[in-house]
Amino acid sequence: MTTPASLAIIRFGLGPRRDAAGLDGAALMADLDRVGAAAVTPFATKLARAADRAALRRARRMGDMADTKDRMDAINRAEQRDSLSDLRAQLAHMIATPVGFRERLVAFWANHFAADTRNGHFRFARASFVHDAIRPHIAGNFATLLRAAVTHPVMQNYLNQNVSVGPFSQVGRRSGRGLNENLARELLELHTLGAGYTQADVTQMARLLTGVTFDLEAGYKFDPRIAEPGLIEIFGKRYGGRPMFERHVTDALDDLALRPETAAHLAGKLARHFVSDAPDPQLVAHMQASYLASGGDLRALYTAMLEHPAAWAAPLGKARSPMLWVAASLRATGVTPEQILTLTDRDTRRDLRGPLQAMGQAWETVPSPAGYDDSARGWITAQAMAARITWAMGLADRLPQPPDPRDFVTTAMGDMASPQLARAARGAETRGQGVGIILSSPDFNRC
Amino acid sequence: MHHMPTRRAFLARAGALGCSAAASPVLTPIAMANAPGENRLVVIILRGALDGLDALRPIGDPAFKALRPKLSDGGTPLGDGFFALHPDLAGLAPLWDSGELAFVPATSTPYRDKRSHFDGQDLLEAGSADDAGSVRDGWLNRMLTLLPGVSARTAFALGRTRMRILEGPAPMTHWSPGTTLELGPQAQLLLEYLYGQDPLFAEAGHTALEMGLAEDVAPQGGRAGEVLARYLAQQLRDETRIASLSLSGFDTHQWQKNRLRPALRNLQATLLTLRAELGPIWARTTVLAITEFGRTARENGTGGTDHGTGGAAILAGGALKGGRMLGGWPGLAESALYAGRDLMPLRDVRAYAAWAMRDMYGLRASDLARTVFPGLEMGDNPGLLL
Repeated sequence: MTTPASLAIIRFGLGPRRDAAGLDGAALMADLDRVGAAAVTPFATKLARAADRAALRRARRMGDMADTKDRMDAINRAEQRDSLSDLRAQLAHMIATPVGFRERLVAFWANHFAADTRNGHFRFARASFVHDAIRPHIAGNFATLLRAAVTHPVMQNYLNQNVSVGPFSQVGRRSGRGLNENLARELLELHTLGAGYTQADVTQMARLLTGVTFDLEAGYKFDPRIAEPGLIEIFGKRYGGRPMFERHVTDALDDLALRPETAAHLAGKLARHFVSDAPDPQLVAHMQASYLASGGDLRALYTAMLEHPAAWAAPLGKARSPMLWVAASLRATGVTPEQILTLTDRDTRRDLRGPLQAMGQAWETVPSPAGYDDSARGWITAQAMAARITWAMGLADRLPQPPDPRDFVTTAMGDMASPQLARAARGAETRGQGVGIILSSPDFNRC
Repeated sequence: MHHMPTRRAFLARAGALGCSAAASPVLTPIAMANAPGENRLVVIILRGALDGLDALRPIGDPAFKALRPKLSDGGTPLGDGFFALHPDLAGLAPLWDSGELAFVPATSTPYRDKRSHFDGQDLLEAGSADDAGSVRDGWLNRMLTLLPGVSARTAFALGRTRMRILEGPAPMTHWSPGTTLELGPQAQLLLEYLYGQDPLFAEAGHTALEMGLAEDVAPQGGRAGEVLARYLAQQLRDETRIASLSLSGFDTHQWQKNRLRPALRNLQATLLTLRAELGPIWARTTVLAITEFGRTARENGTGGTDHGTGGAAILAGGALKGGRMLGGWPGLAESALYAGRDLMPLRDVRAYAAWAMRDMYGLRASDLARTVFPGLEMGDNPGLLL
């Protein structure tokens, strides 16, 4: 059976834009070296705003009520504006980049290390977190990515690491404060092992993580005053001592990254993301083995996936996430990055942020520390489909010169359009309607 | 599984795409026989932390007036007059008199001390004992996994917000009334045809078209809760047996005297609309309205209340043995308050939900304590239903 020429750009990329036929595994891997990223708000700005808010709250408690409310509102309005600008920047980048394997991986790892900022110190800082902690590390060693994501202030804030104190640390003994196990548990359950650990392991990991914290001036820091002293045993290996050092934590993270359970977890999850909800076990085993043999190199993991024939099996088994589907629609219809970047805030809310929320993937939020479910069925619900149809028809309506649907089938699907889709495209009443139907079709919603 | 389609959508499908009535599973007697009975359960999530001490005022408690100088005037006394309904809930008093309304005045989830809306709501919907982070699905969905013959329409979540309480492995439908599609008949036909070809899209795509295009369910105005209740009643008359929706606007840190009013009127309208629209089915219905936590016993300096612990749960329905207060009253004396500031919660709110589900659906208490509310001590049966 021959592999359709468009499979690579649909399954592993952001969807056809211009001539994307004939991409192979090597071309996809080359996309990892492409420079350039969406110009989202730097995390330093988010940190400074959080510090400003904290200062205003202190001033208010001291009775200085004069203009604190106005100043607080001004900060929060700036955060809102930046969040809309970040959304435009991200989508514009997803249109501009030719292949998008790199963007797909950024989205995958951003969901793997799910964190948002509805609670706590930061506002709308998820895009900045992804930009700072995820994007630079998706093509290196997993241990580096793990360290960056788990210790980032946004992740700490989301999973309460910043309130965790070693009970026998300097601060713990004085204040009576204690452990918060949230980050430790998700680190084992979601970020690394997935299975094969006990509550005792979680507690030990929480004790080991205690020095990891952040403040609003410096961001991430390791604070020995709250770190639980003493040797801590995790999976038969001892870490820590008196005093505790940051490297005790990073050593443990490095070891976790190379556990066979972690390799199995990551390989299975990546194969389920790109290939199928029930991937070929041989594909997963091959990916897992390559990852371990390479010492946790993510490129080896990706290469193992792309070189395995099971990754190129023809039927499209997955569903595009709302963000991916919106980007693929914009690419296929020829909307330019400039058109997205110049949208007003009002239009960004109405045409992008609101619809993404209705489709089930609100910008800047994750449903839980486990991230989005990521199964094909998880995205394709009735309400989400209604939102997709509405958005597709709206986009098609606004195209100044809608293409002929009979041609657009090929633009959108390459050589992977079903005969049914081709028939439906011929049956549309108007060009715009035909384009909207193609974007709403099962074919185009799959990847 | 599809519910009975509107006549128009049905004819369009049958004519254009060759579906026959026999292919619609809802029309076969076997599907009906396997359905989970006739009892309806509606769980309303009151987001933002309802002030139970204001909705249901303990005017007979000697400490109440001093704690709530600005928030204690008026109200409709119930029963022996120890509690009074907030003026904006006065329309519910007849339901109390007819035994269709009950309160648990001092209850809560196991959530304590952190007082975050998001975490509190997550725990309320996850139904777990402490950390919602370790539970990924909702308790109503886990309950569905214990019922026979569950189809996608058996359980219905309404509204635009996420309804974690109904998320999980069992099939369910999440829809927001007012989600309309503007499609010409040809576009509709073509999409019906395409979705019908693909198992992944068949159910979701069909439902989206059918419900998005149905003219007879368009919202007819009124309060948000009325629109939801009217829509929900239609589903409950049809195939739906378990439903959840959320009402918001209960987070009243300032000027609660004014700011709580629209939220309470919305709640009242929701319950009264549901009752009116359900007609005889109301007799088979139990509504449970719950919130993430209560609010501080004392008013704060800006005429509002802050995040607390214990609060009220509201039960309504024709199936209810109502006209009573459940679970006791801890009192508002300084020494009786939780942490010196909040109403002390007595029994876990999950126990009431668990007993209601046991009595409505014939579930075993052991299954409820294992699957639906892991680790819950259900305690004695409060006998909620007639």
